[in-house]
Amino acid sequence: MMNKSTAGSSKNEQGTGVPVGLDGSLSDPEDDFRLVALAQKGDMRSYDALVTRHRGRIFAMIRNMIHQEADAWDLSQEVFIKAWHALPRFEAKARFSTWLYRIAHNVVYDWTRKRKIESAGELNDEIFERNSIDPSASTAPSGGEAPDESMSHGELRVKIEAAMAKLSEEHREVVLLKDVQGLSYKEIADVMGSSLGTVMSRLFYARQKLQALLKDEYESR
Amino acid sequence: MTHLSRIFFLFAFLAALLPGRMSAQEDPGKGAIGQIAVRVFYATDGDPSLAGDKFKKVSDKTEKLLRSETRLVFKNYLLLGKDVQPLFRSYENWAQPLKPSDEVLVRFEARTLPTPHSTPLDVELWLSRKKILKTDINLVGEKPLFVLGPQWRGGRLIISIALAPKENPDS
Amino acid sequence: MNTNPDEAKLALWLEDELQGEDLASFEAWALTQPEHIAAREEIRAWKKTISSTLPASEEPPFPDFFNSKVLQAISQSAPAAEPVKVAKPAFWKSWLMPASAFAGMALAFWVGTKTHDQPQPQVVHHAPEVEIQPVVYTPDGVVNAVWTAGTGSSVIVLEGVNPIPDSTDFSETAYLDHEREIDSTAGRESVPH
Repeated sequence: MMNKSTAGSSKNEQGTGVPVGLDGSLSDPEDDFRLVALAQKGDMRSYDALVTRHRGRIFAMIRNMIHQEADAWDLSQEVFIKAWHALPRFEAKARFSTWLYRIAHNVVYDWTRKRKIESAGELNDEIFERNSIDPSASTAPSGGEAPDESMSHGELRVKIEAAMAKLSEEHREVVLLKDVQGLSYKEIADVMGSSLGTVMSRLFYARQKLQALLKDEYESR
Repeated sequence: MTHLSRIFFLFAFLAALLPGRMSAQEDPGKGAIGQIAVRVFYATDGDPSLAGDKFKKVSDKTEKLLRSETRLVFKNYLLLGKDVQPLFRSYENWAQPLKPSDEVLVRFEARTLPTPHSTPLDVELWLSRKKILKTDINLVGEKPLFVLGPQWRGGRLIISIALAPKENPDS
Repeated sequence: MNTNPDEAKLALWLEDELQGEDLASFEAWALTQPEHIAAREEIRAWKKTISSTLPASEEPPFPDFFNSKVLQAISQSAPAAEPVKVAKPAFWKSWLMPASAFAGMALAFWVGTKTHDQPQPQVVHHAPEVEIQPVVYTPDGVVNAVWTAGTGSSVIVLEGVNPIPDSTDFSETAYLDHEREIDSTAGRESVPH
């Protein structure tokens, strides 16, 4: 099994000499372009640095979208694999991160489409219900909250996630991209392949619905 | 009406037609491109009857194949269960060889279209409803992937994942 | 876009997206509109709430392995005709394959297709050179999985996996019922498996 010894990679410098923020913060989009240019010439170390820099945001975005940690892990990988193959077509007209979100958008859409197939086998459908899988069987260590964080914060997260789950995929995505990931309207339009007006109206309806769903919780804060 | 609602009322006319979804069409991804056979063997150096009296010994061919692998050599082998499921072009599928028990589940998906000489798969092995193993394998002909699994009743379970022959998948 | 420029600017201003001169000119007017100011504050409050609740960035589990798998998938997704050697070359080298070796493989393949009494697929002729060690990943940090290329198959040995309770009974396996039906209807010895 291949394994790279990049211990603490999110904190330490990569071989390219570029510091990477622990939270994956994009402190220097211009530096992304520099790494992309190197990667486009086949420099895998530069691409590895890009993956390290952006994997946190992509993983968080996808996980917030689909609520399946194991699948989010797989899909996040798929994003970076697809990004590699599409790298020759990347032009530095928009941020590299925005371009990655676009790929993630497509990957999640394809995954969602796949999940709707009815299996031809004789499996009990309950097997496909992740809730019935042992909840302690997280496929990876949970990144969860520190034990001493207030219960109310955890409860709020549960409520927000539950409310988000009731949105359509497009509405959920636009809220995540705008209010969590902090993208601009124009960037979201590029990611989702929609017009600016469509993005604005989606965000409007999504927030309206969330507001109604969270009314009690929101007004009490 | 809250401030927010009043302000956003102004944008009601901004609502534009949402991009149309893909029109419904036949999905070639649902086509079966092969079949996967998952078997569960009980291997033990002790008394095989501990597994239960309903299980049969494996075939000579299977026994020979198991014994050819150093880590899989045991005195006795029984077949506990088997499941054959289609391999879809673009979708995952599950095998449940010990149905109705879901103690052993195998999830598999084609990574790329198979060739006459290889079938690349992504495979997950779930035991006791937990994902235990994930691997990408390349099935070739009748060569199975064996997984030496958990202990049970003095022996161990061996999970076999292989291409099912097209002519007689139940063989 | 059928959006009045002023309404579009208002939407951008509410989201703190206006900058420079646009911001300066629009702000002067907007600040005279208490409703707009209140709306902008509500949006800011909402964003603060949700962004402090749902993470914008979260390291995926096993981050080193995450990168390894991505890079390995990239190296293996080189043109199909080029095998990846089991030894670990530099990633960029793994994309290259001597033309002579490729020609040799093509010849072996062609020869293989000409023989008809092989029980195994022709890939056996060059399996040792092209067999790729699969990526083996155990999500549970307690379980260890070791892959070995067997003689007639591949073998993964799991160590540290919890045993199945002895009380677990598999006697009701549906497969057995199916086999019994075959036995009873065919009236012959059990089908070998």
